[in-house]
Amino acid sequence: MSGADDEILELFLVESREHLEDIESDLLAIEEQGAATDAELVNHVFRAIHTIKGAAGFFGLHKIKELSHVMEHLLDLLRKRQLVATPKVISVLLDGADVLRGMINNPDTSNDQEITDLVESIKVCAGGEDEKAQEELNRAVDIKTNDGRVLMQVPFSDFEKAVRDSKGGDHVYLVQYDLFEIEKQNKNALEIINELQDLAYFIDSVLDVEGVGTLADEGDPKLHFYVLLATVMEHDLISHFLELSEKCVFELGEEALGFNIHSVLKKKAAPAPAAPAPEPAPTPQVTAPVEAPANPAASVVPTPPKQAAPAKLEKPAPASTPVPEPAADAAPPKPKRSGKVESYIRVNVLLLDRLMNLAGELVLTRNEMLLNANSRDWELVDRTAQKVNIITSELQEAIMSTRMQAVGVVFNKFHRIVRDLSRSLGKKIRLTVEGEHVELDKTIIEAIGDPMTHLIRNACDHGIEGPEKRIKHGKDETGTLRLSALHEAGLVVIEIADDGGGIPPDAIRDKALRMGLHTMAELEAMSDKEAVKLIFAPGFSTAAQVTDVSGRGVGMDVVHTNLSKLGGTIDIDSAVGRGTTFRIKLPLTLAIIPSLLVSVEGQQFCIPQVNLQELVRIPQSEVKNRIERIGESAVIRLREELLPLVRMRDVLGLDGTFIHPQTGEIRSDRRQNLADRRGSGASETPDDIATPRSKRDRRSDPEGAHNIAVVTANAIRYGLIVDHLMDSAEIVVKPLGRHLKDVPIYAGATILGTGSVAMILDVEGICSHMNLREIPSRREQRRDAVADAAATDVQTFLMISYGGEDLYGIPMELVQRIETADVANVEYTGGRTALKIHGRSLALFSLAEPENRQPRIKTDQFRVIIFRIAGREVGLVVDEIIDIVQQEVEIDPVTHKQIGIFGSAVINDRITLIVDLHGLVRTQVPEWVNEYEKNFTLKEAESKKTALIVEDSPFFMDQVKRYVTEAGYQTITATDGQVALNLLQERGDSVDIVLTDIEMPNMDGFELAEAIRRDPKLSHLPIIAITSIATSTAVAHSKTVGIDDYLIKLDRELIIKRAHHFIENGRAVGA
Amino acid sequence: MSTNFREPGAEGVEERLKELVIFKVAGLLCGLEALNVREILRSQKVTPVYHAPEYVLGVVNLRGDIVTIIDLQNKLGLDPDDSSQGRRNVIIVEYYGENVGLAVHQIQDILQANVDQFEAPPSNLTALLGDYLSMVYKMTGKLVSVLNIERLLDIEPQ
Repeated sequence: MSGADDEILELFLVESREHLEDIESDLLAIEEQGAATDAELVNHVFRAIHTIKGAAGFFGLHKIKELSHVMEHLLDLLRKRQLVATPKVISVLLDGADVLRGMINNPDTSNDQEITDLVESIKVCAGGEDEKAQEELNRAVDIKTNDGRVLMQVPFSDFEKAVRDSKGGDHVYLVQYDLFEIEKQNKNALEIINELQDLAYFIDSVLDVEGVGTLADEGDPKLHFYVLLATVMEHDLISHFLELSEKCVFELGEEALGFNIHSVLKKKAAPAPAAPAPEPAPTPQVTAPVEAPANPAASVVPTPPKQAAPAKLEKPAPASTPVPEPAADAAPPKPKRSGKVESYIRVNVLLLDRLMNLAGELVLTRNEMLLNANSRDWELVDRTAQKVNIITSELQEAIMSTRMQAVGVVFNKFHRIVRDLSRSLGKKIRLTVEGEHVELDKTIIEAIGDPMTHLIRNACDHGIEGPEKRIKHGKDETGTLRLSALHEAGLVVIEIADDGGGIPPDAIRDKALRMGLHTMAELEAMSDKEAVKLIFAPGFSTAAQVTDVSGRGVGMDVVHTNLSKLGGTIDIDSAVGRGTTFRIKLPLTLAIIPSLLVSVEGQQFCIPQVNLQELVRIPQSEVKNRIERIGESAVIRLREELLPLVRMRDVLGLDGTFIHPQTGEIRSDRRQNLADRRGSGASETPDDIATPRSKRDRRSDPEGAHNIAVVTANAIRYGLIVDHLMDSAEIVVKPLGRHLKDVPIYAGATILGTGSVAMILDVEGICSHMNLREIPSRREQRRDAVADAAATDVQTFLMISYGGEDLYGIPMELVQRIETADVANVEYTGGRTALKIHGRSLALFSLAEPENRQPRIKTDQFRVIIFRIAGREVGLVVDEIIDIVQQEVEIDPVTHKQIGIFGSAVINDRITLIVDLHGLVRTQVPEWVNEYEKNFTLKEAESKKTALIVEDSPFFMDQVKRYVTEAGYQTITATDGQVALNLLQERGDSVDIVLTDIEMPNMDGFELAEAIRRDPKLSHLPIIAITSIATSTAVAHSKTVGIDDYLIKLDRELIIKRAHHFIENGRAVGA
Repeated sequence: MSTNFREPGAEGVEERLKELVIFKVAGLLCGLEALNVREILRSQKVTPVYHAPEYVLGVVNLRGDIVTIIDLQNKLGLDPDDSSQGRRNVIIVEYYGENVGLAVHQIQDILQANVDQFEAPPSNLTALLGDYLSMVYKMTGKLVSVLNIERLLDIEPQ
């Protein structure tokens, strides 16, 4: 084949693949509908297969044509409602689609593929009991050229379809194209075929290879390509539409076909007297698709199909044995496919137009820039630079969005997998999918398929129990597997949750012990969660028996590695008897990543944000106290937990230098240990830490503070000491050359705004380079412990000072980030204060009295705490950030109550005012808040909704109650889970939503949720947990017990927003 | 490429001539076939890469690509030459689809070299240098060591 033809073939293959993609989900949907088939849907599948069949003939792909032909026939029966879409029928069609896909992926070998069995089984489904019908189906009509050569053989049944089809008609034409002519018109055969398929019913096509003239023939060489089609159009009309001379369009009459085309209809109507209804049905199906799926239609039509169905159902049953075989045959070619498909991407034309516009604008702006640069008018240059900035961002966004695909592409293929698995395992599993619209980069979409398939197979195989066992355990007979995707903090979180048996930690411990992965003592010291995490260890499998389904149990470690390669992480939460949840966190895209710039010895490096947990700055005066040593290693205590420290300088193998505070010269740093001061005198030995601080001591230099970036990679967490923490930036990852591929500590490089290169650090690589051992963080365990201790109510506060001695605490969970700003960027206009930052304007507020709205800013550089109110970011000016405190507090709402202050609490032995960020903004600009909250406030007209609030702390109870009352709800309150449950059992009908704390005496929020879900009268109630701990573990755990959402105390807006959501939409999970 | 300097299909006088880029590395006069050279950069800001192989000077930004810079002096095992300390020039060559930079001391000339004046490297060269030379070009009064790009940029087994 020539290159051009290869291209056309490739085009056909790509299109066919796309058709097949949809077919699978459509078929499954058809199966679900059963007898009440959505005719439009069947028609859709029919058309897809028909299109494939049509063009396959042109390319000489006979087997593809043969298979699609029988499938088409079967679909036609479904379409005509002569057959009911039983699982058997659908299975056969699915198998057919698989084999078809396999053949399309390997078109060169497709003609050698053995498909006889499959074709047979499809035929059997299509009514194999009727010998006559079979014969009819196989009876072929010869289509001949003028000189009597047989061009093609067309099954008789095709004519029947053609005449009946909405696009077809009683005129059958043989259209002759000259391929050379087509090429001259810059078209290709596939385009012609597609064009024809729109215009008329396409019966068959063939390339007349035999008829090619030799060179010796006179005139231009001709390569004819014949298309057989049916339409209602008259001869002159069709040739007009096809832009062909009438000579090239031959009408085939009774003479040529050997039968009268009109007889087809009558003939067909006769043998099926039992089914008079289907006859007129097909036409309205297309013209009036609305009525087709509706129930009334189904109730009129069912009689004939239902009668026909049993007969057809029983018959094919014994013949179904050969069906699995072709399916198995189809499996091997699958892996090859991914390689081919990747090379194409479909881009919305609108998007492409937008890109073109942006590119045009960029060119214009560049011209402007050049002009302005010559004029030396910096103000103008500044303005154009800003324009370039905007256009570039838009361009980047637009280009990125061409690469973004909805995660549904991956999710939807799991319907099939779960369906097949549940059948082969004899289990009942329902798959629910949420958030399929969430978009991810194409490369990531393609790469997560396999790890997810593995997890889903695992969940079906090991997770969800068989029906008997489930009933015995008091669960619904049908297990639920929930797939969901959502955005969280710039990452996409995918959850795979089952409500199966969970993973017993002790079984894991046993296994780990037997495998010699850990010692008894180590295993006993592990929390249950850590033990469960061992399944990610290489070669670990827990399947009591090796089953076929989960691929011999290896693979959890592979899943883990694959996800790590994508820059993702995986976490597991499992409760015995209640189910298992896997949480996968993935970056939106691989190409551009948010990261933090740091510098070491004057050189800049990037740390990817995914690896970054927090930043710690140890002031010079505390270096000695905070940094402790175990042997040679330095550690700090970070919130009561030891954090190993690694000096970036050591990683790089550099001798440290520092600028001498007095002389300004650069000297080498002779400190041996982190806890040592830098000494410039030879008399000071490294261990001489008791010497009083000398003037030349480095600690008197503000640069003496230690900046620590706390990073994590998988199970390892450590602090990286760098010289300076710089900006955070979105960086473009560039690969390193071949000579640098083997350097473990880098993940790539990027180009900074200045044009210089910065290396991207590989946090995991540094670990192995510095020989850090993998020790699971104690933190998760600690948090679990916190969650377990039911009665504690730990809150995290950001401690700040403002306006003198007053100490303020801000609920940490509400803080978005902290910025340092320059006073020069602050503007006072219209009585408001705004800060220009990152090219945007940020409204500034302060803790001052309301009449004095201008924040007092003492220094040139000041700190701003950024938080979100009413859907926008606003800033709070503070003097100093003091600490982050995590402790149980009791807030006194009376003594210090004022605007913007909830009340006071004693934190670290000092009276601290707890800031009410929301109240602060609300008093100053009520219109923002009211406008925003209006959307989530219940309308007057709506019947009064009642919220049950369960909370043991009077302060928080007051807060939550106020939020929901102001949003238009009636409230009932309970002080713990037990009280709440009693209340619900008494008057459950009057409650519409439950808002509950987690940590409470007697019965905690988790137990309450479980109790509610167990009670059939109450199980429909949406439950929102409102709590102070928002660890991923707790969130995952809450999902398994049936809590619908997990929110932070004092986050007023989110609480009313989510409550409103659930009141409007009910519970999202179909449980 | 090391032995065959004739381009297939090229005929006549053209075939007798090869364009060479002549430069100095720590006092040694070297040459590269101009076909291999993409461009020559002057005084680049090189970002060091710690833990890279010894002969890697660092990386530079070449119009948005990260290009590895090879320190030819180190790679060829030459002693540093005081006279040539100053600024470094970078010759960008393409190697298996990747741009690689060669840091040299001084770019001297680009000339048409007559193929007749090429000779195989003498046998008494140091092993390192011998490995990386493909030819010696005999100019009047001086010898130019023509480098073998393939071997020079190959990643040697550890």
